[in-house]
Amino acid sequence: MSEVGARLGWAYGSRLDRSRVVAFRFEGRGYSGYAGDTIASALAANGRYVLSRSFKYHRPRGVLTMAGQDANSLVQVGPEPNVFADGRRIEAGMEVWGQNYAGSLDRDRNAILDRLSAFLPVGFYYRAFWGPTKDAFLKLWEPAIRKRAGLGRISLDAPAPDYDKAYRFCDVAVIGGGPAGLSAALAAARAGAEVMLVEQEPELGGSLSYRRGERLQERRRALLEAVAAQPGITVLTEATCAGCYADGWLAIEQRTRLHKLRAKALVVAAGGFEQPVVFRNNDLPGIMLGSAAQRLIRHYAVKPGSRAVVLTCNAEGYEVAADLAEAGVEVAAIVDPRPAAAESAAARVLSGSSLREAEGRDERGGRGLWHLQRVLTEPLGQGAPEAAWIDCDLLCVSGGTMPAYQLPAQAGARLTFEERGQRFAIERVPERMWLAGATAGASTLDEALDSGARAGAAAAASLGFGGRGQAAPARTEASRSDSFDWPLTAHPRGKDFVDFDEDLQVKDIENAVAEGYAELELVKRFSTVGMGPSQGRQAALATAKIVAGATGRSVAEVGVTTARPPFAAMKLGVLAGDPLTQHRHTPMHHRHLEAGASMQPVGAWWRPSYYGLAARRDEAIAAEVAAVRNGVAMLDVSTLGSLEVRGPDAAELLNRLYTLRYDSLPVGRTRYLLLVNEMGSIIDDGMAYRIAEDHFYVTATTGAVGAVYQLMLFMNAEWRLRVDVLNATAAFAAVNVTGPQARALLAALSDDIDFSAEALPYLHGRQGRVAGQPARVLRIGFTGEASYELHVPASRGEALWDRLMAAGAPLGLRPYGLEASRILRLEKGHIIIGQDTDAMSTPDQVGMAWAVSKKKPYFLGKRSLEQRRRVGLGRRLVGFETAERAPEIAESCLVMEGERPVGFVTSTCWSPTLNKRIGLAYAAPEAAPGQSITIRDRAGAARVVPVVAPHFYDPLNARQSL
Amino acid sequence: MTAVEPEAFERRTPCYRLHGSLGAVFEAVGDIAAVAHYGDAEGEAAALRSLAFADLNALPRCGFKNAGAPEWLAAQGVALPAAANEATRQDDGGLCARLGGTDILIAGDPWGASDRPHTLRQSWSAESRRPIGWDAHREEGFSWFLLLGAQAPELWSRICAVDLRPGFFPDLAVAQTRAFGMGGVIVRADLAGVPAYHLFFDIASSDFLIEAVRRTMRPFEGRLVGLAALRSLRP
Repeated sequence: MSEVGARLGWAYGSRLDRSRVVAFRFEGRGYSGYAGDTIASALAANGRYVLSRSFKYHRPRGVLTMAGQDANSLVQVGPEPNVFADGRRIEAGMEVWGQNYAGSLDRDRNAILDRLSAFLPVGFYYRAFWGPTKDAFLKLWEPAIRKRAGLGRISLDAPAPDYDKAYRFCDVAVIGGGPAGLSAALAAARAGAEVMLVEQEPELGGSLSYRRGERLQERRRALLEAVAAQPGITVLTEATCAGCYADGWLAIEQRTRLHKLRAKALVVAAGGFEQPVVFRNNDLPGIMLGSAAQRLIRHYAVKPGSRAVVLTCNAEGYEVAADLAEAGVEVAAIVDPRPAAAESAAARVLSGSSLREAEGRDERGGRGLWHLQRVLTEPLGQGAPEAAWIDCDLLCVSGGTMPAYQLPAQAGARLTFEERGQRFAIERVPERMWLAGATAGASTLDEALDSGARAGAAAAASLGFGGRGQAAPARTEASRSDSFDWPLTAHPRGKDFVDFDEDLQVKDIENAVAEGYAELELVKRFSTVGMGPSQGRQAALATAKIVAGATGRSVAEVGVTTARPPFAAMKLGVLAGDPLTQHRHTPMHHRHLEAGASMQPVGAWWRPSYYGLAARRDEAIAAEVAAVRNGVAMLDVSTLGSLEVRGPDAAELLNRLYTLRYDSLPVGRTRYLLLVNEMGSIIDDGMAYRIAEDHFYVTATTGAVGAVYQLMLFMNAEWRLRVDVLNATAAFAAVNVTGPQARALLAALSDDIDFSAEALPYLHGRQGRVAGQPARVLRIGFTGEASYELHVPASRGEALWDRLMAAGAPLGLRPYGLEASRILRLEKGHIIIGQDTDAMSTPDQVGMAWAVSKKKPYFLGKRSLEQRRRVGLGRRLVGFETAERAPEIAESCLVMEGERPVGFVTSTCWSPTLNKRIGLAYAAPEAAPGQSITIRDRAGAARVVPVVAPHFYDPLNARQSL
Repeated sequence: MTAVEPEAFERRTPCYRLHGSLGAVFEAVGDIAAVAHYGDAEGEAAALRSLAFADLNALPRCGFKNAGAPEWLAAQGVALPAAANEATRQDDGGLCARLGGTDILIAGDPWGASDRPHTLRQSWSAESRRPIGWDAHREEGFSWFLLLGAQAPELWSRICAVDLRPGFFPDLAVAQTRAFGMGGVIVRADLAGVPAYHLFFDIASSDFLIEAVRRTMRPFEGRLVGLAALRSLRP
């Protein structure tokens, strides 16, 4: 054997580049293959067929489909789990491991589970794991199950590939690049349509790429040349259409890219899935689909065995036998269940027979499950040969074909069952979708080409290209890929697998029905049949037949389970795409970084949390608070929502939306805004600055401005007011300058705004120039000190910041961050919407009844507020304090009355100004200053703290009004 | 052209530091600094026909919306598009895009010669007649970038769900859509036969947008270009 394993001659191996040898490792041992080999083909060439272990019983599993359609071939490649060994090409230095074993793939300690299978019947996990004690599941079983869960190993250190997405458009999408798909693409493109041809394999041609016959190959070459020469056809290979959604939206996975294809018409020529046959030990390595053997031979020049048996009920199996014989494999027999089977030059034919069971050997030649050793035939009727063991190391199974129904079914098509051919067919195909080839039931090349041409022409014609398309003719003759009504009687000793992914046997499906799950969807949920990586491609037909037999219904009545996207396994990385996440920076963002700010995300924005080293965080925050209380400091508030509300009805819009009155607000004044929803619950607050009779500058909270803007647009349209609403948040930079020295600082920086307390008192606004920048100045108070919000054009924000810093240096000006801001506002007793409110908070509950007009005839939520007021307060937001540091009192701690929770802490902090812990909490409505509440802290201890007025600092507002 | 420092100006673009870190040389455009080139103006000019991306945040633009805005702009000599989602070229090399019935976006030329958006805003502020719409603060709220070159449509296919291929998104078409997960306006206005797409997005996300475009352009070998290269397309 050469270093690349035993290979067939140069006539074989269409995917190989024999000039390049590629070395890789499997299970720690070195192997080589040719460039173009898959992991499975390179290993098979070296006589290695066991790739992994089965999910439940840990049975050795090997090549089944050679098409990336089954869980048997899932392996670990470096840090990447669950890679299809029959789909991934080998690369130099690749490290490959089997999956789902304890110890080694060859010596799996968990293989004992195969012998314990009698104790692990279908659905056992629904009844097990509840004992022996009350919490046994959480404490004992779940950890043990989690330890065993999953197949491969996920590495958090794995390098992320460059996943991305691409948006594509075409007139006609053709899914499947086999003969029918090629024919459809040509027909549609020749009619003038723009065509996207999507093929799962590395090359076009479908089954023609591995089927025998020079005539077929000539026709394949001609088709490929025609497609290459035809303008208007874009080809995607190694691309899987995973989902078919409304309006021709197709999700196509191509390696690390997700194509989002918008097609006006769709031709599904996705072929069909060759079916295995159910008998005991039908999962042994060495048992594979006929097409898998053909792929190994023609694509990879691998002789898949020495002595073979072919189990088939149709012409495809006879082609497989001929291929095997031609490749030098001794074909011991063709086992055909049909009473009058065809003749074959390749081998003797055992008509009217099936297989009862298979036996395997271990690595040393004894009995085992390592590789197929012999099969036992079973006569199905009189005249059939007697049962006999046949020695073989390869069994090729061609049990019929299941059309690739998933995409049409996702789009709304239904399956029907043809008793004559024992196969499913697709009906009720939705508009703008056509089927071709095996998906449409075609089985000969001529049928496929004809159905493809008709479907392509019809799809193009539906869009106005070319002439009128013709419907595909109904199939009238027996198909070369017809199935057979294979016996599905459970073997007394089991291991007759229906679903290889989930290790489900015939008796498991029967038992599920016996449990009362008579409907297929329930059988699926109870047994997990069809839930594995192959998504029932090889299990759906057999399952439907077993359920039909067990329930006395027809297969057509039983049907198949719902087909949902994705059609094939997809990586989460492909769905996620490029990990780009939008972020927003204020104009002063880099100044914060330069000043050593620790930044934190607030929605898409990044805001300074505090300035200084993380190790001295608390000191830094306390110093920032002190600067506000004793001198002057400034906060970047550019992220606050800025809304321009302009027009003759601007005041009316605000009147109807917010709880206070704004038609009475004089020009040059500001007023608090409180917004409740139609339930009367608080959803936002802000300030309104009346710049002119018809112009309000409205602020909103950072997180809610988008929703407030949408609400304004919606209600403005509904009320038909003459108002223009503009979300100008990003257009303005804003700085809150606050502290006892704030006025002194700003007065020195403006020559056209009088910052004196008389000229610009609390709750007033002005326009003018500050620090050389055109500014809107809002005199407000969130910190409890004299505060001025300066709003300037965004392009001038950094210059404003620079000038303020320079001018404020002699006054000790320093920036402060969100953490200090939250302490300052809590000391003052201002609530933060979303933190101190929840979905049920009303103004009454949070002590803001003063912010609700009693005279207005209407505002949004007024009626609900009044009705809720009649019901009475269910809780009240109160202040509490304690001299203890008490870090165990934290947000979300419950407020208790006895053993009954009556509220929770919404905000709390250690106040560096007041030198005590302060906080806000929802408590019983009777709670009032002078009383106390009981808080269950994080340690579970009950702490009794006094209730106080929530305005901890400067309760008479003397300082902010200075 | 005289090289300038962006911080010497009161008005600054959001990404001048990023450009500086990439070797940008700046020039003054009115009262703000714009990227002149990244040290290889000739190479940048050569990239224009393949794939290039320019930050035009320093250049003048404006917008007016609501009742009276189109009529007032027409009276100022602005060539208005007939319908929403259409654009027109202006005599000064600038653009006018209609984002809605009464929502008008105006941009100067992409090489910094036109100051018309500024003069329009000044005239609007001085106007006493009503209604003449409202200032939409587009220069401050909308970032402005230019993506151009033959490969631009392929790049769009990676970032935008709208079909922006030349045959489907013709010259002077406007798309109000999403790219990189955020909303914005895309206006196609070819320059000297080169496919050119103007991007007007959230200005606060300018850093993000440039990084995202640079990352997406990498396989196409697209380049950042300055005004000097764009001037090679000037009629």
